[in-house]
Amino acid sequence: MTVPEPAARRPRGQTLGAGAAVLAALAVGHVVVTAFPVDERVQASFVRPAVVGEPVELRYARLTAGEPAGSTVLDNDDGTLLATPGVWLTVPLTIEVVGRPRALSFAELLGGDGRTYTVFTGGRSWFLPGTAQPGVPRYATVRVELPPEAVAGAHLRIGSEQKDQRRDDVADIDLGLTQADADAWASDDTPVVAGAWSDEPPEQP
Amino acid sequence: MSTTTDSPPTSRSWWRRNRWALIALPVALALALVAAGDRVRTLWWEQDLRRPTTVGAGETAQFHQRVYDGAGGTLPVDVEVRLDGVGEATTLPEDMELPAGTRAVQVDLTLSADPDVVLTGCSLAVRDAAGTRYGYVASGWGALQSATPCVPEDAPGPWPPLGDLEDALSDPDDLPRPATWSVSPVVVVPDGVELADVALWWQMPQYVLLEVAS
Repeated sequence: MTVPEPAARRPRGQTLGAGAAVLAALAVGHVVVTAFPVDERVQASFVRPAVVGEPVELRYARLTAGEPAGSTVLDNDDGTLLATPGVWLTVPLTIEVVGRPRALSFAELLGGDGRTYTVFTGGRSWFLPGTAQPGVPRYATVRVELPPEAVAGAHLRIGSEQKDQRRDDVADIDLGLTQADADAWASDDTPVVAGAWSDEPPEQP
Repeated sequence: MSTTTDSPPTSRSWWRRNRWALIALPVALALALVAAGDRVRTLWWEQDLRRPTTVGAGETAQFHQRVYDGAGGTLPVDVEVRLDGVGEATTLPEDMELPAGTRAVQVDLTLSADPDVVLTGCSLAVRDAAGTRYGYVASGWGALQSATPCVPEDAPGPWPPLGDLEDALSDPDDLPRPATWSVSPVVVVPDGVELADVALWWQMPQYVLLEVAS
């Protein structure tokens, strides 16, 4: 008759050591994840700096911002005028999409006052350039209603998707605006024109 | 009565003791990758043209796909497509004004399908050799072309099911779609672009790729 071999037991010290190693690994992982803002960096947009008049190359388009204009009155180019107690800022854009037809829909203004002014595809502050064909420049105007103190130092950001700019190119255009521009526009009621998009270049004033 | 003598654990015994965990490890790794990639299909694979049914110039493509009907089901797309030619549009669609630096090309297609097959949700584009896609635009440059470039405008055939609204919205006087028909949608492209093929699709990622005669 043979006696069954008893199951080999792991020494108590080895068991405790393994448990401590697992806890230490979890603690180190927690420290690494919380100490470094990895998520934010992974999801951050690829911000492409630009200035007025110079094209910026994005993954999905080549974008050129024209000279900004401003006033207290906006001409919709459809027979209606919009007045504001602040200022209307308009920025003409030339959009040349690449690869396939695309509709850019994201715009926001980073004001010189530190605030972000959202631009919608409808409403008063809006940007709606429609779907552009590759190789056919699309001309559209961004219009933003903002307080005069936000004008100086403002940056315009343009992107592909209105709802989600993570991990994608976003143009960051320094509009080169000063307090003198803000003061002049805030006291000017000559309408600035912001019409619908077109594939024909706008007439030069 | 006999007893066995204790022997020190060997590396071989470690592999034996942990064999089930070792077998499970690659399975767990594969499952983790699948679980982490659950959105690859909807957010990437189905967002572009990736699975062509390719035919050469003048040949007829047999295209089969099941497309989502928007109501939780699918519909079959069974159609034959032939590219008859791509050339300068001799007559522009009514009121179309071409922007500077562009031209209009006409895509002549002949299609055949059972009159009961739903084909109304199609999209069309022409492409150059680099793969740049120039889309068919139903409402653009002042003109209003057919919303569905692959079926006759006056006899598009059945639409996807609309549930309770179907009876109210369907017109019994609608012409049935013929078994074979031709269409000639017009696409605006930049001057100087040499077109290599035509893409026709109902739902990405599948599409019909019709090569243009060189």
